Amino acid sequence: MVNEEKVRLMTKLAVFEENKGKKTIPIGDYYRSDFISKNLLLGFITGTIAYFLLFAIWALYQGEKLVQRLLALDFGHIIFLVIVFYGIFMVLYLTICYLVGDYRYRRSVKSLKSYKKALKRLENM
Amino acid sequence: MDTLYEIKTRIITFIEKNEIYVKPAAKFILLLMAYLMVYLNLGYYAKINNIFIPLILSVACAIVPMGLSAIVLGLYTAANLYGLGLEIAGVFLVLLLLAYLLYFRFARDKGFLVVLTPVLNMIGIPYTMPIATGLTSNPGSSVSVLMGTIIFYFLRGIKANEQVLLASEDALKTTKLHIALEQVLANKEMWLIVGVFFFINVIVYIIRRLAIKEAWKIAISVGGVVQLLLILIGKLVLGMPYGILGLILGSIVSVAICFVFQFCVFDLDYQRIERVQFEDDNYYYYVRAVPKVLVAVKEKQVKTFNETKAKREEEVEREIARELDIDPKNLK
Repeated sequence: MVNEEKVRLMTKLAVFEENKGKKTIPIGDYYRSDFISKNLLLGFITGTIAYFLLFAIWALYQGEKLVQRLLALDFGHIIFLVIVFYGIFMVLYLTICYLVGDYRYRRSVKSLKSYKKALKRLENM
Repeated sequence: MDTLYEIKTRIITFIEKNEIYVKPAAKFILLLMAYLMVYLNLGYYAKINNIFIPLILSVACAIVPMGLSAIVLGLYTAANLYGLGLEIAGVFLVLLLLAYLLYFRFARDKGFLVVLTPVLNMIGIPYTMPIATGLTSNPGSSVSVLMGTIIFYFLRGIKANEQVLLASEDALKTTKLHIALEQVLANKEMWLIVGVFFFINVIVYIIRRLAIKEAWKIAISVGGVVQLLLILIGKLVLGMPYGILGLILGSIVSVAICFVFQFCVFDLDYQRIERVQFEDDNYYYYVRAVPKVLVAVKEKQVKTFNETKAKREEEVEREIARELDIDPKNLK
């Protein structure tokens, strides 16, 4: 005899696993600090690549002006500016990465709590 | 109004029942429009300048995730730009790579906004985007709209300079590169639109979350008017007093679309039909969970003459239903 209540609960759990759970359940395997650190590390790599791509675009666009500065042997000044802007860019970008990671982790923990509760109820049926 | 709600319910029911076909069909239409726009406006590379390529690609991309579809569309566009020169295609690919590195790492499901924004730009109603995303999502999603806008202005700039780019085949490669970069870095109109779109997205988001009556309608109206004024003032200040009529008409149409959108989305009880499989110790289950449609189509109208009494009874019923956490209709 099929237990209707059990089917209902299992269906709800399966729907969660198929949709929201696909992203949420793997996050539950991490500690908060590990999850955020992983996000920050990835952010550091992608942010650095993005910054130097942006710098390359700017340098190509500036073309002549940049060459003139280089000819005037203003290396120190240019390198200083590149590093300062890199610092500002990375601080801003990593802050966003941190906030996004933290928000996602909190949200996942919340929905995983009710998911686990429902699993326990199913176990006791 | 009741008829409108009935139509809405019918549409929702239809989508719920046929989601498996409706979703890919909608995706196919959007992608086909995008591919055809690229094919008709940017078909510079003779080797792939064949109508069947965009047709086949839009059919194929309709059944894969939107993130992948957006990448394929980007590559198709880059291949077409290659006809103008490697530099142009290169700059375009770098723009896409930047978009991926900085944003889509977080929000892969927002890829369709990057495709939709240039399409709406081509039709002349891009002003819908910041309002619609402000209504349905958080300000973070405006980044996809901004990226779509940058891509549109880049491609428009390339199209406007096609004569120079095609003629300068023997000229220095740096000329082409400079023209390509100029479309992004020195395009004042683009940065004006990008700034206004972001601002409007945030404003609409804040207003629609306020605990006031008709917050969504106020958000759309304020967003529409402020957006029009800001772009108008910006254009005049930047010395670009052209396209004003298109701007005004586009804004009016966009606000109208947003009101229709609000009617369809706000208070929407859209739940998809779920098909799931699972098992326990005794059975395998293949379940098709169908959502209940809350408003019955063509509900019977009951006229009561003793209105105050009926209203009081209705209120009591609603109160009891709320306490018991059940549908008030079950009490009747």
